[in-house]
Amino acid sequence: MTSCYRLNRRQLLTRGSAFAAWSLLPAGSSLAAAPDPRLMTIVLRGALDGLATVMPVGDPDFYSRRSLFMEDVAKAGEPLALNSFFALSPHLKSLHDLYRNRQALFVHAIASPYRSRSHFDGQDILESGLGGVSDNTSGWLNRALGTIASSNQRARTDGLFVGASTPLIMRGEHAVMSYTEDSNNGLFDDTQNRLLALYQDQDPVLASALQGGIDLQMMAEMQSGDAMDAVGDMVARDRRALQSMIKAAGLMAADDGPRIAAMSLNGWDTHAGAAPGTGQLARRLQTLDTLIDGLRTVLAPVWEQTTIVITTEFGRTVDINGTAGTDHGTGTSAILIGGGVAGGRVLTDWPGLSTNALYDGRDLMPTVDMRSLFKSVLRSQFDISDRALAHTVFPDSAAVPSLAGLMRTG
Amino acid sequence: MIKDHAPYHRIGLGISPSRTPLEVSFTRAAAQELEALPRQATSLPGTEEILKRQAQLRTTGKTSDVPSMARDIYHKEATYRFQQALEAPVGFAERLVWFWSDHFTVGVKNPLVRALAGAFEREAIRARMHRSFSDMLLSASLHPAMLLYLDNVMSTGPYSIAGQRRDRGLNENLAREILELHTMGAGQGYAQNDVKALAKVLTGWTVNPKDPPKDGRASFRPAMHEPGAHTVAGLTAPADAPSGQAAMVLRHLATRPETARHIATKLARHFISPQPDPKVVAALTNVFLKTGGDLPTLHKYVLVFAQRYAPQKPFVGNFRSPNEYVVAALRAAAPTMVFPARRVLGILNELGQAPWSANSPAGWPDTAQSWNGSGALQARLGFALQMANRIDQDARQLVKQLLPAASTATQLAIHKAESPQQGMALLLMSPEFQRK
Repeated sequence: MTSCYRLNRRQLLTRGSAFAAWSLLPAGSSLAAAPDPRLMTIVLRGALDGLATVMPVGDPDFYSRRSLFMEDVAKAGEPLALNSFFALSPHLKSLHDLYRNRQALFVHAIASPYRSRSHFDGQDILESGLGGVSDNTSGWLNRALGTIASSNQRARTDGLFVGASTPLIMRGEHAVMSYTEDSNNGLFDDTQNRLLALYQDQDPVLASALQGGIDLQMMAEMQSGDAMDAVGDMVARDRRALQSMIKAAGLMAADDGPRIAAMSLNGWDTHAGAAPGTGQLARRLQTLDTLIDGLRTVLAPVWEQTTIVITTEFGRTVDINGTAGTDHGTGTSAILIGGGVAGGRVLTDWPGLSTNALYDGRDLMPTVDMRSLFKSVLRSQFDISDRALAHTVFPDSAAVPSLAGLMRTG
Repeated sequence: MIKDHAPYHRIGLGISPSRTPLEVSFTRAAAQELEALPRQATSLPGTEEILKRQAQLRTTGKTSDVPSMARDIYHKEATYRFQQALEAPVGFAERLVWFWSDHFTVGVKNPLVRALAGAFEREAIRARMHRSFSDMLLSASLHPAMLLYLDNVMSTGPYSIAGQRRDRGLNENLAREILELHTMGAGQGYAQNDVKALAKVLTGWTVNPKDPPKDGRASFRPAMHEPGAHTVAGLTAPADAPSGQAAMVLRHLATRPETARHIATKLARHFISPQPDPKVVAALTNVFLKTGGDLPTLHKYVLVFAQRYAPQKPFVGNFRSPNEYVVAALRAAAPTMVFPARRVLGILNELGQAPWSANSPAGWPDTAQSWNGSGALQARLGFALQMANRIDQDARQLVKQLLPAASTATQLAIHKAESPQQGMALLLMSPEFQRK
């Protein structure tokens, strides 16, 4: 079993201050970037419960704070051990396989610089790569593409996003393509639930009409055997959405295909009845795992040069709320997979889950900035200079360091 | 500043951030729309051109190409219709076009009617909005699309030359619908013999490829016309003016008190409430009779009454029809189509209201029950999510523009959405956006 990458000195990350325990790589590093690297970002929209995904089972406060969830998880099976401290949700089997093959690593207690817990603004900052909310109209991935293009004439810099309208992360001056299947990514069911709640509150006639439609559809799905599908209880909608995302990712394996892709999965805002073992969150994690498995397969020809970064706008409360769910939080976990990843580890400066260790007394304290993760991948895979990262790709982020040793080549 | 979105939904097509004037009252903006009629010309083929093309395909042995020609024209006409709706400042004039087009329903039951339906709406309805009801009735009844749709092209007087030669007979379909749906209303002041007499009056009006329509009016074949004088609802049309009988009788029907009452009731039901105040219906009937069915005046009164007698609280039935919902959502997005017409037609098909495809000559139903079936809301939600992908704006800001009187619950739901896309979809599916 690999040991957790723990640091000797603990420093808590507060807004803007440098995190000195993480070292910068020496300037002028002569590490060669992979010859024809691929990068994919997957944004999990709705605030992933990082503690239910990469579970700190070794933390003395974890089981007591999350007993309801862990009882539910127990019904789904054993957590998948990562090391003596962390374990993965039992629904992430493919991801666990990658971890054991040293092709996946997790970064925990990570967050963007944003602290106000609004989905809109949180995703804005995650994708813009800035230090705060602004009117900006470009995303860090697009700026990265532009930087690569201007410094390396021979590099392929075709970008791709899945969906009908450009996500902020891919907006900017560099032209990108879209794979336009209107995939709902788990959005339909969650939106329908919220709509039903709104109707029940404001418009009983519409509420009963919508409920009628839901009941009818459930009957139809049970009849058609969708519920018995091999990918595990996934509704036809979700399956179609995943198929189109995997197809789009496959374009990156082609010689003349795109090299940087952005996509997202919805449905992570588990305020009520989260049930990470048997319910809503379990299904989302299964969907994520199915996606990861599909990506691994379709990108096999170029897996050595592929990196996939999976992040979310912020985490969720440590404690469970009054409706068996969690509310918006701060620190969360991020996932890095790919052939070039120095995997098989969980990177974190673990702050602990005791009450005085929590942010605002309720959230996992973030101890590393999300931009550090992004910077590390970009500098190692695409050879973007620290200077460009600090000023162009992530403006005003000179104080935000890259992380050492995420990738095999740096 | 717009304080309440309700009139824009009930009487118009919803607020368009790019087209709706903010500093002008709804009434003023709607009145300006009426004055701006008729609308600009278009390069779409007219009825004459379409019939020529169809005849050409038949004579050159390419009859199997007619359906694809028809679909192509249908898509272009639907696009034109959507575009008019998108560009309208408030959409009252456009709602009136839809109302009258629905009143004189032509349903796409075969390729030729499919090809002609859009031209019918432009020639018989749009182009007559600033005239009298009588003019519109004449144009609509004798338009090739209507004659084809309601089978008058085959109707032959039994004692006509053609009737005697071929033992063909009357088809009463058009005559019945003119009396029952277009003018006096079911069972109001006419009987079966009036239906038959009107059918005879209408014989001879047909579509003849060798005699193209003039001004949208079909051609008249004397050989099919039933000879003699015919009495319809108290008016006797003389035997010596066979081709003039139709116009004479239709104008007579257009001025009947029953017709005035029927039209007034339909307008009140559509723009005010399913159970309109009898005083309002009486007032509109009066306007109709006093002005000889002058449409511009009638429309102005509808506008005023729709505001003055608007129901105090929303009633159960005020659910936006699929057309109204889809167009309102498109208006919310942009001044131009964010989807190709094919996609919009797809969603309207799914929701059961593709243009000119009503199941019966009675047109589209006006009640919520018809549009509210299980599955309908989910289909609307699917469309809302697709639209949300294409609307590049923040739903939290847009809700203030589109639904200034939105409830706290709706605003909260939008603010707490898990992604911008979800927020936009919740806006479009909110009770306020779904109702009028």
